[in-house]
Amino acid sequence: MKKTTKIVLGAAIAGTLALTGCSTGSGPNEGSDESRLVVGSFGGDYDSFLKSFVDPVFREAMPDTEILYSSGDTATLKTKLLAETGSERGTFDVVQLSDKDMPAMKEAGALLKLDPSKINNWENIQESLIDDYCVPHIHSAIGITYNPEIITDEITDWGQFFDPDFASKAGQWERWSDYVFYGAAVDAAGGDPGTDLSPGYDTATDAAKLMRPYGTSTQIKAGLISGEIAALVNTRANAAQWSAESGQEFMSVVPDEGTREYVSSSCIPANSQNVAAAYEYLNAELDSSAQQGFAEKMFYAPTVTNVELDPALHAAISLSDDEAKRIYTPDMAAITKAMPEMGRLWTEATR
Amino acid sequence: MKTQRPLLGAITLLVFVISLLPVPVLIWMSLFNQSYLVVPPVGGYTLDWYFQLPMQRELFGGLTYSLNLAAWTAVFSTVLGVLAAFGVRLGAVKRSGLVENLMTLPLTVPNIVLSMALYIFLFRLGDMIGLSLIGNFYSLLAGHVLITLPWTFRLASAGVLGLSEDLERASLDLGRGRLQTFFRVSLPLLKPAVFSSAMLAFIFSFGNLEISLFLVAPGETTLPVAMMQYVETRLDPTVAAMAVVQLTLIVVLLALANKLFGFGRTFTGGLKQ
Amino acid sequence: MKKTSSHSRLYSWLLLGPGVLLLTVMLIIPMLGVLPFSFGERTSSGFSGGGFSFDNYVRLFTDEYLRGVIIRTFVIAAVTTLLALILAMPMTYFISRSKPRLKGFLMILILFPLLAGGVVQSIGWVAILSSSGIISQWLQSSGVIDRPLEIMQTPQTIIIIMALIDLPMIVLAIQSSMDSVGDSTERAAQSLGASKFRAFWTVTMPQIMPGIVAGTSLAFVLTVNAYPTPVLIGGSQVRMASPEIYSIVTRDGDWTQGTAMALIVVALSFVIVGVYAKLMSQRFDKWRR
Repeated sequence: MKKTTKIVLGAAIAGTLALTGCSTGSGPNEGSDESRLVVGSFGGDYDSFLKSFVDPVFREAMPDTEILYSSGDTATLKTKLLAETGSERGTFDVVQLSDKDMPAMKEAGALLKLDPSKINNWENIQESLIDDYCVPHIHSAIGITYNPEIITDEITDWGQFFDPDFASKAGQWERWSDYVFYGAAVDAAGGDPGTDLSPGYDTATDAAKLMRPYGTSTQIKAGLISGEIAALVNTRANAAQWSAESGQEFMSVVPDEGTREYVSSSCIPANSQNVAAAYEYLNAELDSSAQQGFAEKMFYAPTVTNVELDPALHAAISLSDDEAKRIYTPDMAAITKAMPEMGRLWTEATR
Repeated sequence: MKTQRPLLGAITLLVFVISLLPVPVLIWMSLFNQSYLVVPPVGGYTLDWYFQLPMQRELFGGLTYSLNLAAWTAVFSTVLGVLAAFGVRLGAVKRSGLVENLMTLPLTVPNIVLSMALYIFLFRLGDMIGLSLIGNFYSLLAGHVLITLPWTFRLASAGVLGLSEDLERASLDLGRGRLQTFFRVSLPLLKPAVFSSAMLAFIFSFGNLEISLFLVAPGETTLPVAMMQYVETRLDPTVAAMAVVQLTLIVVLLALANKLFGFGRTFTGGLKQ
Repeated sequence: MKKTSSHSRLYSWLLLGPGVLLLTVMLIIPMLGVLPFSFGERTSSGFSGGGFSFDNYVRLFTDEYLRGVIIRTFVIAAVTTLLALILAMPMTYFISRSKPRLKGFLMILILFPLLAGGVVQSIGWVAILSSSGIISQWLQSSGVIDRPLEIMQTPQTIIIIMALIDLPMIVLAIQSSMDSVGDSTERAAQSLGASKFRAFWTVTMPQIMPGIVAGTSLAFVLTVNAYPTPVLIGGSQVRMASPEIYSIVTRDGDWTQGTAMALIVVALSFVIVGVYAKLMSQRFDKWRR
């Protein structure tokens, strides 16, 4: 009896190992080579959309190359990228970086300077977003998002947001706390705050003491939808996403004094092992069909001008000409250097 | 003694109920016919989420990958743990304290820091010797064996401690070689300890987040990593269903272990011969 | 008496070899590898800006925020461990004196949360305790409270939940010692007139002390280093060491500060546990007499 049990068990284990062993791949891999493209991205929905919209376009250009998405979030990606900087063979071929992370990676020398001639849609990239090292993938204005059911006044500027009455009805996700600081800096400067955000620190921390802090984006989304908070500062895209999800209609305002945009860019690490494929992937990302897909599903605005969007969608996610005039190009390097301090101020104020 | 048992029993029961509370909650949630956590569920109940699990590429892929990884981890970790336990036994007694502390070391370091340090180290080492040590199954496996080793070593040591020297001596006296004695006499006596080590290593590997975060290969993911990423943006029946699947797996494994190797008994002094 | 011939010494090293090798290559060397970072100057592009100073370490004591995180982590870990011990004692006693079959079943039940993993557990607790979670909704709809429940992201909640997660470990550690002590000595003491509690305290306790010390030390260290639970349940309001280190490194890009903090945390845990073990063994020896 015991022997039979042993044999059965042994067979079961072997069987399980065999079955699930299919996913281990073929032993140590060499980072990437001619037949693979490794993409490091944000994870979650972003990755799903990349797979749905960008992969097909990429495959048309390079049908034999395997596309692999590295799991893990931005934090992991940044660490790995940094760890690999300086060596000749890296793991990644394409990395998606938010505007906050790009300056540090550039400074570290992790990125490859792009050759515009290899990017098909280069001429059509919006002028304000052009960068030597990365192509802008999606962008959206950072503004005041509020629930018109609860806040019945029309909100048009930062001054209104920082009014204690309003601020006490607002909330913010910790990771977006720097948006509040930027808004405060704009408010203090009456316009483009330039490289120094500190004039706005007091206004921001005063408001932070009244605002409701959230630890994850899931929670703040739930907070807005349930009415726990009535406003926050985030991208127009988020506002549109959450509106679509909940069936409510949240307003996203580009304040009169102005604001900046959030930009997500795609870059090629300097030690990529498949640069040719990397360029093709960037091309696929800038392809009008892929851009359209992201616009329709994620509500982020296209970064290239040769995309046809449904007028209603365009109105909802893009900037009107008037609004576009109020968008400042931020000095992201300066902002990221100030982040630790702003983060501390935020944490202390929201205790 | 007798009159105090009901009180103790009550406390025990209460603590059990509270600590196991997430389980029924997750099960309940996984059946909601809506993607929001509103109770009672507006849309009623459904099993759909379970059927759709295989289509959740990240989560389901994570499940199969984790299963495989955990199985291999169990094997190697148990082997290393048993070997080390015997090593301690054979050697000078005064070493054992040092070895024990050494073996427990992985638990004393914040795993997330270890994971990052490992990545940096392995990448640079690989760079120097021209091999890619990063982003492959083997380094991930090594990492998992590393952090399960404290447990397998501990359990194996307990088992080895319970081995009676007399039986071994008798075997040696009867003319069997050392190696034979090991395989024919010692090892079978260690069966409960070995199997519970393997089980523990499997389960801890399966549930590990931090080490996998950095060492898993591009294009692959483990279940805890996938789940953690999932709940960053949403908390819905899908991830609850996945959690239930994971819990069910653990229960099945434990029940199996109990039936076949008396896993439960192992912890209740069943090792003593 | 053990004979340690040179033969068995050699075998001993051979057997220990693989394990020790793994530990050295995969733990000791990588950790030593990041140690230099902690002495360097902060840089936003890379791990360390070079130089050598103790600034990062000093900052851990002088900076209110950083100091606060460390103190909070150790205090929470201590309270958690204590709570887990208090809960574990009656449970272990009950289990230990149960019939064998029930025992095995109870042991598995006890191990279950531990084996389910921090991630799954925490997800479950979030669903239960968050302000839009089950308890909150239930209390609101039945009118007991009029605003969402705010118990997540508080130290108390983290302590309780982590105590529940640590509990199995302590039970495991004490369990076999308690078994081997057995009923008979206690009964004997009782028949001599001691109360049940006194019998337990004077007879059983001293013998299970080693198990208690081992279990609580382990639970303490694991709680100090915990990651998924503090992140999911503590969030940004209750900052504990592991998530904070990760945040310093990834969000702030400050490897120098992060590694310094990590190393101090490890060092402090060693010291605290070491002192604790020493103290306990001294008292325990006294007690035995």
